[in-house]
Amino acid sequence: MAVVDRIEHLEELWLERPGGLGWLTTVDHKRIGILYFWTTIVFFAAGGTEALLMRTQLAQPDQTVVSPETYDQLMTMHGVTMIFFFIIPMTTGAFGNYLVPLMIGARDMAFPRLNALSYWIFLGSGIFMYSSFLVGQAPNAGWFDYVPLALRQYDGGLNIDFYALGLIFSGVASTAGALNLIVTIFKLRAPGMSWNRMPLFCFALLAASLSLIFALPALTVDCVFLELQRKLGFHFFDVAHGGDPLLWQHLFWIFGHPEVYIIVLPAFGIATSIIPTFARRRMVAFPLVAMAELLVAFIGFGVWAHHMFATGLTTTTLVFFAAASMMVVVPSTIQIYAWLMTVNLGTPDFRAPLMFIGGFIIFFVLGGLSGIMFAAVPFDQATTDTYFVVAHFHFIIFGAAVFPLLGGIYYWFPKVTGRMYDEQLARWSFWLTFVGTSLTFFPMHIVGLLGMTRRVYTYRHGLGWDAYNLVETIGGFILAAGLLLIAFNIVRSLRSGEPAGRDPFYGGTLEWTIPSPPPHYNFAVIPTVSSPYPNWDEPDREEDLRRLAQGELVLDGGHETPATTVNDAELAEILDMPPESPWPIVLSLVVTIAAFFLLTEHYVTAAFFLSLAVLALAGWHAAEPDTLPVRTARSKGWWGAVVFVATEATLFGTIVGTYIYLRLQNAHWPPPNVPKPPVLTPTLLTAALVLTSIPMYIASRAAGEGRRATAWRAITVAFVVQLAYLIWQVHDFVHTVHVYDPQQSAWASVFVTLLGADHLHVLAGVLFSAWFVLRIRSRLTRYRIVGLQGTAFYWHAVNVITAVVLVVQLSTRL
Amino acid sequence: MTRSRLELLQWFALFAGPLAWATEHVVGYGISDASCRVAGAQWGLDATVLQIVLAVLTAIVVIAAWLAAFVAFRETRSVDDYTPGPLGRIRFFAQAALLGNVLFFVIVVLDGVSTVHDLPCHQA
Repeated sequence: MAVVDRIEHLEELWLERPGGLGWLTTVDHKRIGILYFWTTIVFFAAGGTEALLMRTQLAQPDQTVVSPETYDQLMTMHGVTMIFFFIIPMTTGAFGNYLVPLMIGARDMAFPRLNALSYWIFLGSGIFMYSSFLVGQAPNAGWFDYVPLALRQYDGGLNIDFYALGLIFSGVASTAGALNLIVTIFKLRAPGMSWNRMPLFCFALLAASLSLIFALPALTVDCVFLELQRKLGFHFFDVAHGGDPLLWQHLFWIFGHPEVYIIVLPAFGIATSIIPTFARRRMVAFPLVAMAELLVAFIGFGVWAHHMFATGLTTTTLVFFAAASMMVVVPSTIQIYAWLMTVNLGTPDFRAPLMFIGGFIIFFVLGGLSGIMFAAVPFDQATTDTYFVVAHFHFIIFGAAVFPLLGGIYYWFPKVTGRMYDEQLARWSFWLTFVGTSLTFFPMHIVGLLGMTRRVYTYRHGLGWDAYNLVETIGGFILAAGLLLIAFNIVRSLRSGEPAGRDPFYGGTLEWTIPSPPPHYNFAVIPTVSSPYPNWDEPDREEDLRRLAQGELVLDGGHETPATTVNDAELAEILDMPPESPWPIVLSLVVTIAAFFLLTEHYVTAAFFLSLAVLALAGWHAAEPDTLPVRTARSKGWWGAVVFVATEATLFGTIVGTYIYLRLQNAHWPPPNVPKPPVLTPTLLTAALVLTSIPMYIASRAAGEGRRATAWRAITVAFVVQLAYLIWQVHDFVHTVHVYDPQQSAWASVFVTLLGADHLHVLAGVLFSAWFVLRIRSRLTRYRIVGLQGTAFYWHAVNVITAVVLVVQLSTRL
Repeated sequence: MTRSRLELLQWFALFAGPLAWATEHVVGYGISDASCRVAGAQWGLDATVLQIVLAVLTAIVVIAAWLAAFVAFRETRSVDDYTPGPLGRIRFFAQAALLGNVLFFVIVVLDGVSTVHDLPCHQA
């Protein structure tokens, strides 16, 4: 077959339906990336408008531009919007989705339909959160929503319920997206792209995604606790019943600090893409930069209590977290030195993308310096909750996360659109944005040291703050002008920009080897890879042309892309990827509706819509590819199950950790008037459940070996025992809630929540088992084998978790 | 050295140090909280001794991890940064672990120094 014919055939295979319907049912990572991009731009505009309203209110003392209640909502929604609905989905959803498959030589993400689902759920959660403005009850207790202010007795409207449910909902989207990025990076790298040959942008997205998987459960559990206390009278955060208001802060910041690295790591990744291109050389100390990105993410999990230095923690605790907070700076510093050395040793071309990276480095260094000051406990205790900390995090979040985004938009605009932006306009937009950012946020350092506290609605004249606030407001409008100029440049260039060609900047990574915009199939031939800068390896590009001509690794037998081994990217199997599907948007719609019914306490109706979601999932999986497995390594489905189990295990670890934390607060645990939980029945039931791991293992192994009948018998045995366990436990749970009333004590609240969470996970497992009892009764397909093996892995994890829950229950007897 | 032994050294070097520090951080925080809180005060914990033991054990693991990284790095000196896996990948992660374990060692030392000073439960 001639090369032209091969390419035409690939185009036919990967083309999706045209028009609006095509966008609603798309599973193409590039289209999903574009959907994320424009949606997050809308949220950015909303968050920016909220900021300008606040700055207008604070421009002069004693103003009444908005009411105090409105100001609280603006201040809260500005933070919530910028963090949850702009920066995270922009970096991981837009940039990550669009670029990671291109940079690793894949034709799509590992789970294309899950990718679509994560976008539609993100959109649904954003609509849910912003609908709060329509009823005048937007979240109003700050973006970190501390208790006791957020409890029902102090904030009785729907404001906080919108916040908690909205973040739980949005967390599902972020978790799905992170899982997808991890498995894509693990399994879909082109043959030959071992870890030491993977682009630094992908290391950054991997670090951010791993952080999301392990950080989000803490926020989810925190919000669940808050809603249980607000709606059902549980006790987690009130001392009178054995709870602790600091519990909210611990769980929030266990999420919240890794969150700031989740925000800034993709920005590092963008910088490490732009710098080598415009410095015309490879990144200095490549292995150390890659490791620094992962180290920042890991150490970042150990510093959370530096947000709580003023709350009366024990002295040793203060030192532990101060030590980690000082050392977390080191990996960032390594990266800064590597970036600067790369520019210094190269021949830099200061076009707009590199200018934005220059601005990023300046703001990141300044923001980092103020950050390391906060690692010193006495300084932190004097300046926490002042505008000094507002200055610090805006230098980091705006200066160090948004500036690389803006540079990245200019850098990849030619690749995505096939057109060049206006370079002169881009440079003006950089200077306007840089000056605006500096004027807006630098004076905040000074006014914070002069004593201005954060979140204040207004201030009196004569405190010495007036001029600084006015300058900040003027700076805010200059910054807005800069951003509008960028938007104007992008929109105008979309319509009338010069054709860009394949590679206008001579970038090093794989996306620059394909046409602009990329074809639907991405790569006509799966690329040969010998380094992290494949576009600079000319022999490999010539090898690609030879292979295309010979039809090697063209993979035009269907919707195909290769899967490789995790460590050394050796070819393991050819994947048949799913076509477009309506199920992601349908599932997202019913879940969004369920969220509204949960908000308004219509629990039965919410349960009905969640049942529809389960049916939608069944419809999703009813259609499957019909190929037989030819695989030499663990499947992407297995890795997906591993990552999913990791996040669920973290969730349970958070609840168990809460149990231990509150145990330390209370002299009597459980309280003296509460009967101890039984021993014999829970132990026997747990043993029965744990033993189902044996038939699940047999089913998984038999299915992998093609022994359908054995696999079906084994999973049926497991299902019967699992179902019996669930029925007994649900019946017993009703009795448990009556005896151990969660409205009476924190112990009962945590105990009942732990049991309830375990039973929900068992329910999910029973549904998975039932599905495979039905599906493999008739035949085995590759899809069903992978699903069954993933289900078996899930059950092993649930059984371990159930055993841990039993240990917690029995510990009350100690 | 056999390939499997080299692999083992590389993975130990990469993961042992971070996991040891994470354990010391969480358990150390727990000991500090337990010894200063209502319930823990009843248990008669000698927090100082426990913290010192924890810090020393962690430091030993981190040093062992660094040494494993050093051996793996030295054994792969014949390969360059972009050699394909497994040797290229082993060298890559060995370099990463040489850096990472130094950082974790410093954090553990800082934690240990604070413990030796037998700090009071709360600031004055």
